[in-house]
Amino acid sequence: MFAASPMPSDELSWIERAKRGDARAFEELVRLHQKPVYGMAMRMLHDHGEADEIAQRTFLRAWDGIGAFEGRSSMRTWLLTICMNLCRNHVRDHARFVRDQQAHLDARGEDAIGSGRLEDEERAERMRAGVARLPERQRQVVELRVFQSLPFKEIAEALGITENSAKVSFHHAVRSLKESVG
Amino acid sequence: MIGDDEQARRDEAELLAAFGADGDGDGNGNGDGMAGVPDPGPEYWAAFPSRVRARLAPRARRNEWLSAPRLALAASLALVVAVAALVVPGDVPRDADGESYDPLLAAFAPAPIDEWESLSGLTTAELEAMEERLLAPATPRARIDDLAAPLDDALEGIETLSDDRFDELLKRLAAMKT
Repeated sequence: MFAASPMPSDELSWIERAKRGDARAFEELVRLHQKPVYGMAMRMLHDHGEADEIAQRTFLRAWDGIGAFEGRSSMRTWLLTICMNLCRNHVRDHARFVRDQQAHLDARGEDAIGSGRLEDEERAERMRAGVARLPERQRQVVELRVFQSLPFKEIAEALGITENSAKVSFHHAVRSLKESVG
Repeated sequence: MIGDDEQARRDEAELLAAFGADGDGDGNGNGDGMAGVPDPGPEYWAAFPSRVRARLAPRARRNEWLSAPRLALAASLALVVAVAALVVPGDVPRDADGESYDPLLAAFAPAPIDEWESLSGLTTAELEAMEERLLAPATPRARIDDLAAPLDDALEGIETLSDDRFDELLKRLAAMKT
């Protein structure tokens, strides 16, 4: 369950061609990975326009740096690492915007409870708000593990930490969420 | 124990259950990564790669240009410098009057400035005669090498330039041509 999956042969071929400057092959890589990249940006920024821009910039940066991609992690992990860094920079540069988004999320959580939705939906909504409040490292691990379904080994590589440290962060995140959500 | 696989699996199962999800993929990064966010729809996904490609196009062209063999590029540059020196003698780097002296261009000019100035003073017939002599079989190979040596030095100089200096040289050459 926690082993890294091999890249499909088509993907390897597209990577090699993209490294030689083949924009068509790179477009196939975009098509293959656009959803997880956009999904991560959307969960971190909570705004479609911002997520769309960050997702595009992720691929532009990947094109610039694909020559340095050595395949030690999967292409998806590499792209998500780029995306995560761009999101982090974006959050840093737009701190007020993010606070507003946080308030929006909290309000949505309250609304969900007040409007009498199903209990599971309320809980999921409160969990999402709880994740947004986690310390950055724990939030990143939860994002990569729960939403991107990456193995801990690749999460560790993406974040520059040990595999055990990733698991410990994940455990602490779960504990915090249990306490905050109840 | 915190940090072991078993604990991580339990944590993950709890978290997934709390999100009301059954997991996104197989734990090996093979899900679509869209859990918990609204899907913008098939039209968005169909158009997304094209939008990236549109922003990529200028970069792709630039990369193609930059990946051309450096020697060929250096030779082209040397030719541009040579032509510029002949056609626009007033704009070539000078170390005497100081008016348009450019240390960067001066360092990589394919031949000493005086030689270019003397060449620029020749008539077409004289230049042709010189070319004939250089290409004639009777001309000793060593002599041709001697004449070409300054150009080789310039090419070698351009070959070893850092990217920044190379870009700077390109800009200055472009400015010189205008």
